Amino acid sequence: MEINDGEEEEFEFSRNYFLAKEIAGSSKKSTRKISDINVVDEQELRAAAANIEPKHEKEINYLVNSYKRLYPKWAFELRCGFGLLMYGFGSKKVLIEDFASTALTEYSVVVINGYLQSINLKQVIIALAEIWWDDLKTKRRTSSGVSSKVQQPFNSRSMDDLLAFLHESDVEENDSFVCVVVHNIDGPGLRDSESQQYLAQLASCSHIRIVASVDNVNAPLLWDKKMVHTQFNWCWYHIPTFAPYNVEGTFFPLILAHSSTAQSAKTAAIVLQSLTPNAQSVFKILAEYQLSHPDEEGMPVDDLYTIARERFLVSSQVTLNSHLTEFKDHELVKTRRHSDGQDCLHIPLAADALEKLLSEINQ
Amino acid sequence: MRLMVIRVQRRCVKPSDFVNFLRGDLTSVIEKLKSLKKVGPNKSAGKPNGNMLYLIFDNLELIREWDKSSTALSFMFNLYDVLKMHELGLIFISNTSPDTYYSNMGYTEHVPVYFPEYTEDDLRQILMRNQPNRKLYSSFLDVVLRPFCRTTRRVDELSTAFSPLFRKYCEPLSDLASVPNEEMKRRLFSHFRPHIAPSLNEIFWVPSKSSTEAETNKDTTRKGSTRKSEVGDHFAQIDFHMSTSAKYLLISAFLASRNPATLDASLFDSTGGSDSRKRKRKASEKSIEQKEVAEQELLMKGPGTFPLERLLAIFQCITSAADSFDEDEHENDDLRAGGDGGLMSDVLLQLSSLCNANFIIKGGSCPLEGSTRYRSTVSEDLALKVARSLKFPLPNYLYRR
Amino acid sequence: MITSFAIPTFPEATGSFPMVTDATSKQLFTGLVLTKNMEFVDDLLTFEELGSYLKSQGCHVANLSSLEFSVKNGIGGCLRSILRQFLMITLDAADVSILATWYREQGSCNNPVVIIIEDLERCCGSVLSDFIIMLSEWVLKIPVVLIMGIATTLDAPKSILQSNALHHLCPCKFILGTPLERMDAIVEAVLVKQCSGFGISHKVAVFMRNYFVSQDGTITSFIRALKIACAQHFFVEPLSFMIWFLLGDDNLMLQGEKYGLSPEMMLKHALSLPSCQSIGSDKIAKQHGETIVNGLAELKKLQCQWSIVILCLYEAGKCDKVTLLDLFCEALDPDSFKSRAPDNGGGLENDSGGSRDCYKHQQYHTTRNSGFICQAVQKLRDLPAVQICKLLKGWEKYTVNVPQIHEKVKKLLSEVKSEDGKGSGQDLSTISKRHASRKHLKIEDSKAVNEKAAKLLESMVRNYMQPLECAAFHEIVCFKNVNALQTALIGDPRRRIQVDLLEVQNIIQCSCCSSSSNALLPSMHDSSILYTLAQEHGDLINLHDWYQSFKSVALRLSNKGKRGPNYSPSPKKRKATTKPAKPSEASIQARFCRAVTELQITGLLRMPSKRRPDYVQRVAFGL
Repeated sequence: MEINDGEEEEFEFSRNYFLAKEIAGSSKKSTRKISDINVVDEQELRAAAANIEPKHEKEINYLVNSYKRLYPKWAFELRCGFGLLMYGFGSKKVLIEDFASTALTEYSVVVINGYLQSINLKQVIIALAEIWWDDLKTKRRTSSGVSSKVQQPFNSRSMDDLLAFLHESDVEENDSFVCVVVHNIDGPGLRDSESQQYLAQLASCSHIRIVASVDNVNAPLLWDKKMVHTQFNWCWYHIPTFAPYNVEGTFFPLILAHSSTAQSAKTAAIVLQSLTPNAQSVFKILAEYQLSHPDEEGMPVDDLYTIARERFLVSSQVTLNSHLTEFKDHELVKTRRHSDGQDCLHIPLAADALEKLLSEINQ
Repeated sequence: MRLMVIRVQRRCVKPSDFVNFLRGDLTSVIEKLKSLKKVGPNKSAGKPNGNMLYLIFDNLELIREWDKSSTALSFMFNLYDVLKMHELGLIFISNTSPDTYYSNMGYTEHVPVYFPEYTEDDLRQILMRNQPNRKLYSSFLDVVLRPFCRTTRRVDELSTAFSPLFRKYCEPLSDLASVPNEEMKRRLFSHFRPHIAPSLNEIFWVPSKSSTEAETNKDTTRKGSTRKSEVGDHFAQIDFHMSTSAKYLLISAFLASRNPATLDASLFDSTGGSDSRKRKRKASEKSIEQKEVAEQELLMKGPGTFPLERLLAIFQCITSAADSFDEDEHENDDLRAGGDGGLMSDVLLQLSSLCNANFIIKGGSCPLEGSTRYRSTVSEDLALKVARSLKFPLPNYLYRR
Repeated sequence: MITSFAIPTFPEATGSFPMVTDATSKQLFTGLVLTKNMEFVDDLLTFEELGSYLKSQGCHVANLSSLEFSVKNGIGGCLRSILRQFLMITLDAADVSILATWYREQGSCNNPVVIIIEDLERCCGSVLSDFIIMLSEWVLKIPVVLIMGIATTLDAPKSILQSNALHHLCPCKFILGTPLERMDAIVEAVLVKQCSGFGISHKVAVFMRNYFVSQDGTITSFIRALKIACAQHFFVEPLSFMIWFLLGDDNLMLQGEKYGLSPEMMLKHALSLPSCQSIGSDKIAKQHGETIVNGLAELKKLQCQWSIVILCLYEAGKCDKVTLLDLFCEALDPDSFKSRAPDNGGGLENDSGGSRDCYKHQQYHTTRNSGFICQAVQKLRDLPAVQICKLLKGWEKYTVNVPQIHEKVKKLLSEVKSEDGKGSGQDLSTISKRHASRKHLKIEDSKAVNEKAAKLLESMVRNYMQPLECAAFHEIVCFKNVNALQTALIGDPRRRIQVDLLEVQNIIQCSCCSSSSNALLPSMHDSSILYTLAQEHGDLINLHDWYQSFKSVALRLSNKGKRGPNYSPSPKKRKATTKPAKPSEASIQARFCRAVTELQITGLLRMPSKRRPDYVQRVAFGL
């Protein structure tokens, strides 16, 4: 079912999109909620997730092995100055690292795990500068070739200085380079334009080569033509591996388990049960207020104090404050500013979760 | 009062640093002044003979654009109270009136001093200074000053506008030092007159070297224009090179910004053009009217934003439509990139190029998160030009053109 | 150049005070360079070289790109960059007075400071405006000339810069050549004039041209495509090192041994190339002797002739704005050459009737009776005598190495010159009827010359323009694999990743998942199942419903495909052979979660948010 089969295929996309938007507007939406799914206990879910049987193991291994015969071509293109960009469904981490450890043994390789939530690019560039400096020193036969410029230690230099250092190339042989492997160059920690600019400047150094993988379908949006054609110089390779995204997926919450309402309702119940009965009653006041005034931003502190005093739950503002601090520490309560300027207290749970919680406390 | 140039450069991070440094420097300056005064009142006239020290802040309105401008401004205005120096006077010069500086925070009342605009005579006197040929310039000002004064009375704008015009005015003259008589004045005026009106509206007038201008006059067979400035908008074609895909994307963005999203399905159905699809259900009169009102309002608001997916959907639609149109004309061509699949594959890069050229503005967040919205900034004129170069019937797709 | 009457003192020159009040002397000379190309990437090198040239003339040059004019860095960012380029140090607190001090210390103040801003449209308007205003206040102390590259039109500065900054500019415009002109120059220098011996096939050329014209539009990407083609060719074709021979290196055999190839192996490989096989091995032995060297020499000669004819065609086509790129692509077509060959009674004789076909402009395909070559030839018939003369002179230059054509060209040129001579003689006579008729005769004569020139060109095209793909051994030097080039140059992740998901079987080729119907089998990849299910929904997918559908697929009896000889009624055996039956609820939920995560990683879904906690949103619709 290739895209070239007939004109009907070509209109599929746009027709799908416009129809989908129309349907979304007109038809009745199914009103089922996530909570209607009987999610099993989280521990069990996580255990099951860890033990998922992989499918088509044999075929996947065969597929991945078939990519191994591309290694010499990739190494050749790296030497020619291109950057390699791997895309396709399935985790490519193992494949690329296998490539680096078999075909790139003569070069230094630095690996950036782009799938991590945050990445300190400056550290990476410092490491690269140090490696390159070491490489230069070992390659220079005569020590008089070493520049007499006093070398400031790398980690105290600014980003621009480091990049300028890496750009100056007075290497005689053209074949040596440092290879930077970036898993998921479109990962959440590298997506901002500043990081991509730094990576592009890095790639444009004459003795640095980049091998990267992307998973996002819209990855080319990260780059402009200067980056693609002159700095990164990407050669695209479509290598779907269908390997599971084990490492890359660890930072994504499980959609069924981590629906935050279920999660925090449970933790809230646990925390509340460990508090004193007075504290629980204070919390109850808050919850009842919130349930009966769903449109307001929360209960003003003064009102809470008044009601708590009426019910002899607290004797002074200090006591109330200590309860409130405890609630805030456990993230049971949040403070918001009212339009009058007063502080209001608000429980960050949905109404039904709150009801459930109340019923649990009352038991 | 004498102006002394004392150069001090220090970096301050906190306002308190600024105040401390300032106080220290001002005190030392005042000490110096006092000591100079003590030397003797009979010495040369270059001595300072007042007691006061004035700090002058020019272009105060620029502070309003800083971050935390309200605190900065109130800090500035309260400087006098903070420094507590009697010899100090503060003068603030601003382009905007004092009520733009009012804020919730209190400050010492200022004495407002208003400089009214220059009158025409004032302007004439100012502009005549330093002119080598006063009579000639005077006759020039007779011609231009009044119309330009209606637009602006600022000396800097007028002088920068007048200097190229004066050169043009003097073109027929062979001797720039000559004093014009009445007849010459009339001649100069008649030569110069067609240039006045256009230059009134031009803020930015770009001459080109006369040699290149002559060449372009030879190549393109347009009538010799008297103006040397670039007449880009009047050409019926675009001046710069764009790939076909970029052009289609530009048009798609223009349509996406211009048309409300509810119209898409009817405009862009599978035939990519006329609305031949029957509506599934008949909408009531009222809802049609409401829809129209809503769409009209949307039009008044200016170019709207759109998500990436909508842009790509429209793009695919119009490129497929154009393709099928082309294929009818030409014979079989198995060498061309099949259908619009060719154009779609690289379209994201073309989008970033269009953003870089300021044709499409991107909303702030990262594009991969999926919630970015784009907006087209292309004028209808340019969009029509681009569409014409592709032979694409853009007016058919515009909502209420 | 404005020169000053006095030199300011050092403190005056390096401080902000005294200030200039007169607006006209605060103006900065600005060169606006219209690049005529919406993309700025093609002109990066232009501005770099402009900077180098100006440096060689003694100016102090700083190149700035638009990234240094971002809101985040403000003026400080661009000042830092300028100071880094001039002073070679990085300062945290960059100030313009430092620049003034540095300039002052350079000694003679006759050399201006040139600041080149490469792409105006991408700069942040407010920062650039502030920068210009600041420079204008210091212009008497630091004589600055600005050069700004503008991609679109001259209206761009008006829309980007603030008006109080525009006042400070004293502009002058410069226009660069269009990308199409530059492309022609590149095609001429690199591909037509055989600078490297490397060639591309017709299909590859057409692909690259379409890519330039309709998709990418940058010359940079065209050159990059060529580089990728080179790399792929050299990797795949073992005999490709023989290109050195085409560049004049004769030690072919030695080279082969250096790479571990014996002469016999090389010959065997060469003779097994498709181009040799179609010609016939006995013919090769007759035409090319027994070595590859002769074959390559013949190829080189053919290429030279081919390039000469193209250059002559280009000369003719220039008058009608036919681009070299189009001519080049058309000339590479082996099919049209074969149809034009003399024994075919080729189509060019028919085009006197079909002349209308020749005037189609926006075409990219090459049928026999139309196309750019035909258009160029046709134009020849309409040229005035002066231009024919110029044209023929150009041809004379090009055809020096091919005596047969050269002779004919010289003969034609002398004819034209003599016509001119006759004509100029006539002009001296008085206007009379006879003169009028002689003038008419002269026109007739000159038309005859045009016709002869056209016929000459046609014969050149027919006989000497043999494209690379028609020669033997061309696979050694010619790159033909369009698909490989296309997939390496243009990644299409949007389409390909979705196709990966929806058509796993094509890639994995497993036996358990191939089904004639489109039904989803539980043995399929989880993410694939989920994504296929997602196609049935609209914009938003209800998680609950989606999960239920997934569950029902997962629970479908997986032994459907496995029925056959293994199926046995006895319960004991069934237990042993069939797979563990129903997956547990926990495992289905876990698989669902993981598959959703995988789809989220690919960016095809947007996760539930606070506003719509029960739905995921589809991002990409279809391919």
